[in-house]
Amino acid sequence: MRIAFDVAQTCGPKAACGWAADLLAKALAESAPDDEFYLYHHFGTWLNPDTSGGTRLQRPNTKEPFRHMTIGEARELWAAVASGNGELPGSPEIVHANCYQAPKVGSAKLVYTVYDMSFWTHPEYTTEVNRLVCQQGTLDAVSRAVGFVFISQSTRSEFERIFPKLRARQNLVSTVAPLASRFAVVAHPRGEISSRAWLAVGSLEPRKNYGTLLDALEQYSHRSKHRRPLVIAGGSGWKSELLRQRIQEMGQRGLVRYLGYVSGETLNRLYREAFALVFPSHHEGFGLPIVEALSQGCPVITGRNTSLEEAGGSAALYYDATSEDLARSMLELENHPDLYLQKSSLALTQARKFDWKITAKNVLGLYRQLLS
Amino acid sequence: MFKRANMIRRLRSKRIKVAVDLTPMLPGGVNGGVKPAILEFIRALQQFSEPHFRFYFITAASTHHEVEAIATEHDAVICIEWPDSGVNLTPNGFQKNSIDVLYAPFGMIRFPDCGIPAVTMIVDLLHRDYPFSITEEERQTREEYFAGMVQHASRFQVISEFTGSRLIHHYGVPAGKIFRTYLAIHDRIKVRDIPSQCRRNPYFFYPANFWLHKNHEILLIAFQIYQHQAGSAAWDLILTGSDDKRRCTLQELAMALGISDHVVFKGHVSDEELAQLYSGADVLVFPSLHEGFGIPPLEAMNLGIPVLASHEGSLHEIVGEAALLVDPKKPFELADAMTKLASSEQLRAELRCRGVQRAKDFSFPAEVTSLAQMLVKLAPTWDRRLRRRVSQLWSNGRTRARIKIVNACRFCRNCLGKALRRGNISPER
Repeated sequence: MRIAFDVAQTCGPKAACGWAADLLAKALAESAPDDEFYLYHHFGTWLNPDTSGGTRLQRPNTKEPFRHMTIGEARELWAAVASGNGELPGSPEIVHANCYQAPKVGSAKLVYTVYDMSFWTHPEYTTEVNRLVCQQGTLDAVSRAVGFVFISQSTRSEFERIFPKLRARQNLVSTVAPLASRFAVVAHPRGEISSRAWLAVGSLEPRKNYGTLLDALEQYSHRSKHRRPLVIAGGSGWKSELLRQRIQEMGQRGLVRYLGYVSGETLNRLYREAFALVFPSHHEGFGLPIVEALSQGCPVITGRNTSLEEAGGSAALYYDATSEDLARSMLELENHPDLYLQKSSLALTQARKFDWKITAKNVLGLYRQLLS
Repeated sequence: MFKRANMIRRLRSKRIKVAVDLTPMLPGGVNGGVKPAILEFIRALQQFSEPHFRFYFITAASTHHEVEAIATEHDAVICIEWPDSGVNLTPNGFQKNSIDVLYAPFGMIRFPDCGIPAVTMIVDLLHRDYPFSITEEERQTREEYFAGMVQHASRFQVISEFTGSRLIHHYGVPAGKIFRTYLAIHDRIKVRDIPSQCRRNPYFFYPANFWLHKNHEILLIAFQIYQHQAGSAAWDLILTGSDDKRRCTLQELAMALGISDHVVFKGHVSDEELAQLYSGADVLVFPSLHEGFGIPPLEAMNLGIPVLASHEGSLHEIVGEAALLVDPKKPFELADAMTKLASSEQLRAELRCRGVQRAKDFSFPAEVTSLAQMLVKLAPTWDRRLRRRVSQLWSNGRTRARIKIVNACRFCRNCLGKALRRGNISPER
């Protein structure tokens, strides 16, 4: 097979979608040495001023035709393909889109990754520009794509709820290809309770529900003997001015430490050292921090909404929506060493269920189905 | 004091000459609902006898004939090739024709130095409130003409309290310079009963151009969800709106969503066809993301058609409690509301009743009177002798009166005299 794989989102600072594209590209190229992969560092209208940070695979079966193209050249090429006067580099049979873009791809078959539907179910969690980009990409995909890759069963269900008639369409195939941890699953669960802080991971934006977390933290610290502080790792998002002020104020009282965007290495260390990850997000397409925390034996407290339960399985501790309940769960985990050690050991089992090799196999299966 | 009152009475008893800049008007429905509204306002002003308005229409070639059709024998219609021959309309041109007021209903003031007070109509501040809907080029154009307009207009006619508040918010225009006239032109649509054998499948109706902020995408997604749930009992969806590239894209989307058999794209329709479509409509759906007024919801309420509308922009102000309001960014919310309305005759009856009641709160004659009063208020501020004096100055080519200053002092003779003495009248560049 000749497969063009969109890695446009891996060129800048990477969020979960960027990491997913990066790691899936690697896993695909490794799993299918006989197939050819063309990494596209410019994709549709997602054009990068600098592609040097993007996915780099030096393997005999991968090529990087867009790597050294300027934005202008790439724009021209995509425009030519859109108008039917150009051909995509490598003449791919399949083009796999990963960045909310579903451009015209000539005679190739378009596969589209669906991360989440929150811009339709909870538009208040995003910016208007972002909402419009996601909407346009997804609707283009509904018109053009013949294969859909969902990053969780929950995302697939939401998609099918929004597009109930699409199921009946002929020749449309789809698969669930869950994300997996960037970090190797540690060999042993924790033998003792970590003395360190609570950890929260995710950019500062309304969707991540930091408000509830900070409320819970206040309540927890009134009642806890240990009064563990909260470390927050996550870039600056949007609509979060008040949140920033609050973090600063609680920082002065020693309750919160805000680290900003951290590198993969630092994040790995944070997961290994943290007491537990608290992840009260309103809406996730997958919930990568859950699986990454679990892979380091770090217990997780999260909610049952959207994909969170899928990612956390029996390893996570679940709370019910309110900050009171979240504080209660935090105290429960802190005051019951048995529970803590049990969750840490379940964590590794759960994390092993998510593996880029398995995900790559699903995706390759979808490609083959499309070409058969 | 006596002299001034006398002068005003004299002016009123004769006539007020209003130059109306209609050069931005485009053929067909490209301007959207604002075009019929402006024409209705002008027609209504033509009916006034006390004071009597005479119009000096400035038109562009593409719509010149449309304006000629509404001009009476008292009016003048001058066609200019904007911007090339805009120079023909020098301040002198306005002086010679003794124009009292310039009315720029399409917003932009193309003759800022015409030397007379200007009233401009502002429908929305889309370029600031929802710029995603227009191209960057268009956004810049609007930025430019708004900057000029805010500087040069004597009064701002806004079409809702909402638009007025946005104008104050973005440009700091003093509230005293703003007056509101609703586009209450709902009476123009007269619906006749359609014989029962012509009745087709019930339908939702959405008359709107295919601009991004009209939000057809979410409507199509929501309709698809509704249609899937309702099965064979599902209503249809009828859309009108000027043909453009987005219509094709949306038609393709309807196809991809598997609803193209139930969605009808009518294109731009005549007033008569529009009336016909209204008369058959079972629910008006209006999921716009940004609106300065919202003529269709008002028309629908007036005709006893239940309204399902977005809660954004001015829409709540217009429909009050007489419509079902939803978040237009949420397909499920819209779909649920469609299901609710299509399945409950009781709910429709209640909305019909409330809508008819609500529409009675809007009276076009009252709105026209507000506009007429504003034009009268500005017109007599021009003393005829002063006009001659300024005209002479202009024709000498030495100085150019700055409208802003003169308007601000409401043009009493003393003020201009003072301004002249103080040198507030700036020399020509």
